Amino acid sequence: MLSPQLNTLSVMIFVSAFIITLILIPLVKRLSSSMGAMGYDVHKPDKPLIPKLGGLAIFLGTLTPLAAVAFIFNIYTTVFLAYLLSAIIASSIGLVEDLRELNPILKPLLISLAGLPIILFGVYSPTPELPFIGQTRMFLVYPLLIIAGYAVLSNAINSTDVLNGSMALMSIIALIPLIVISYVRGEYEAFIISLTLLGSLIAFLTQNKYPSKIFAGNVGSLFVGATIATIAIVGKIEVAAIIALMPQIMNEFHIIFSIGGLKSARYLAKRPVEVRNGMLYASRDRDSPVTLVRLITAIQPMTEPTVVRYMAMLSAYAAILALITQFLLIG
Amino acid sequence: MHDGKSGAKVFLLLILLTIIWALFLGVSVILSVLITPPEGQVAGDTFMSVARVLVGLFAFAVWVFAWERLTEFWLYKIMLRVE
Repeated sequence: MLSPQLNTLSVMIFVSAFIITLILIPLVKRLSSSMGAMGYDVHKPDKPLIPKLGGLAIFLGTLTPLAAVAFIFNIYTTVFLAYLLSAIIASSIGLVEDLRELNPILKPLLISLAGLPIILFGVYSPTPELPFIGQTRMFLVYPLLIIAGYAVLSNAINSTDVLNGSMALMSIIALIPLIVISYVRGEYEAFIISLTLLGSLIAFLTQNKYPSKIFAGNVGSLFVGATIATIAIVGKIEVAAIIALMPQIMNEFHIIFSIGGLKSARYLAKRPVEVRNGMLYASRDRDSPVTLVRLITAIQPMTEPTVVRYMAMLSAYAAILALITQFLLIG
Repeated sequence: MHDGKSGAKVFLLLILLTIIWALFLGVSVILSVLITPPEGQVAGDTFMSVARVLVGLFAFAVWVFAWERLTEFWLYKIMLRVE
């Protein structure tokens, strides 16, 4: 368990991340407009243009309180520096893609570079725990898994940023078991990073929920993905993170499988869902990509906010499974 | 939020997630049998370490493949009932 001082510090950085993100959102909206970084909200009848660099507010809202903790109190400086560099790499790639499209094969390769600072600073333990096996030894392969992990998790989070509030809400829910587990296990760095991201995402969701006034953009979703990858690795809670993010990972892999490789979603011949009179209908065409939204709308045609509620429900269920899996690790 | 028929489909979606999770645990059990280092194994046995990692990655790939096939079956045959 954390000491009373660290508990107070945790609450302070959570609140700071929330307030900083709220303050930054209007500024980021103006910056997006002035840079022409606007995206169409394609599921609305009038397809309004929305500022799409909202992820910058999440990025700064998360990193500013963490920087204060690391440099003012002089704690967790190595972990924070590694995380800072990793976050900058992931967010920069996202920002470039928000301004001009990246090659869909090059993008995951570039994102995987976000894992390099974690390896170079040595802030990982190559002995992950697996259910029924316990602690494993992966001295040779673990650094390679870190590289792959950043690409998979960042793209998985990125793939769920398709409806108003979907990415932020699903990420908030996925963070909850990671916060609980890292707190119980005394993994302070992972706990504090998770809590800070949670504060920032809750603030962002107030403006990103239906009807969205701002989008996270690739800069936001890749940052969130890289941050959760860092939490999983630094906190040694890799398996719980994979289970908590199962709906996101499922979405990513199904898109890749069903469109036959890494391709830009913009050039898909068939769409996974159709929008008619504000309702989302699952495509019955076998050539359409399999996505989480398509699976959910296969229940029945529904409105955009209802789909997001179902996505949140699946995330909540995955979060419970993550906690049960962690219990199996202990058992 | 939904009527009885769609409520059943929500339940089916949760069952799908549960099966995928159970498959993950199944893969973990297989790995625990196949790749757990024997008690007496020398720490520096690189060949055995690499072999265990390859078996682990193969099992993980099988899990992802099974997950993909199962979800496709679930979507077309159970949720959408496409012929």
